[in-house]
Amino acid sequence: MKVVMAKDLLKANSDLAKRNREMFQKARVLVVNMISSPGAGKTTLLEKTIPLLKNELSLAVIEGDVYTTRDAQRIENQGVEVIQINTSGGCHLDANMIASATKDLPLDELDLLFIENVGNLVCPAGFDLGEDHKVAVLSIAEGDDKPAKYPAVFRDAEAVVLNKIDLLPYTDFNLEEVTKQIRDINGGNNMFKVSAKTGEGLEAWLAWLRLEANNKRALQRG
Amino acid sequence: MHELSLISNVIEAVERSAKENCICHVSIIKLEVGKMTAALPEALEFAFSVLPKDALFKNAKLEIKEKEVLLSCKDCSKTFVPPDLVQLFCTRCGSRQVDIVEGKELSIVYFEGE
Repeated sequence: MKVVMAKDLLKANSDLAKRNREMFQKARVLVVNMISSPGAGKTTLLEKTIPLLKNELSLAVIEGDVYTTRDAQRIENQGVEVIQINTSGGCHLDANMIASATKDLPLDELDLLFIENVGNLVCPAGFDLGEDHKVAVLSIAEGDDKPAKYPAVFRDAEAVVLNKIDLLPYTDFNLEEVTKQIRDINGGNNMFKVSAKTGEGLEAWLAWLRLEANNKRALQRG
Repeated sequence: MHELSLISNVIEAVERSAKENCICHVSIIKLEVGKMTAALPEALEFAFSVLPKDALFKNAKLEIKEKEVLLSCKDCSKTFVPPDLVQLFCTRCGSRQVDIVEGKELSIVYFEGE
């Protein structure tokens, strides 16, 4: 006997993501899904970003990690609300985890919600969380071939942050080459060259976040 | 990389449907995997072979069909299979404004058993 199922296993996630997106739309909160390899500096970037924005925008962070609450503690030290998700081995966050985590957040009061995905340049690309924008973070130490090797993450990213530019003099990282790859893959409209450690280049990144958060606020009002 | 969890979802779904249809032995499970899912057919096969399963699946085989990516150009409406998956742009007008029509699905098409 043949049983036809025609069941799309990934559709359950897309359906939930759609629901999350509607919820974020209603609350007029900008949701940014940060994706990178482990060690690219997502947490450090957030640690530096939060103090520079928290006086003007109401912020919260969902921290995705395979294990431990180390990153969540670092974010908590910045004085914003943080929800930890431990995936216990899972290689990505999914829309269902975000739906559960947001239950504990005052979404209506927030302007900007960061989701720090599990450090992984492959799987998170395949799972829509309902975010407004994906942001890919690539650090200089990883090498300049990564956008071409992991195109899915970069293709879907509305913005790309090149982090650790303070290391450029010590590597053979070709900034021109990586810029070209990112342009070829996603148009390269929002590329920010920063050093989260020294603070260099953060202003343009902050300006983009401000603009996007304000657009999201304004969008619904009219 | 998440092939294990995907396959455990396949096993669950087929198990449920087999019970509903009074099937005690599943022989074939046919999957269709879009080339943009980042799920590798070999890794799916491996996951299926190592995951603990009900006796229902004792002689079950996975059949996996890879599904091409299909794009549709927002500017000139051409629907086409991209030559590679790194740079997605329209092969007719060069636009980057393309929708992914197919290639992100991972579906159980059917299963067979008695």
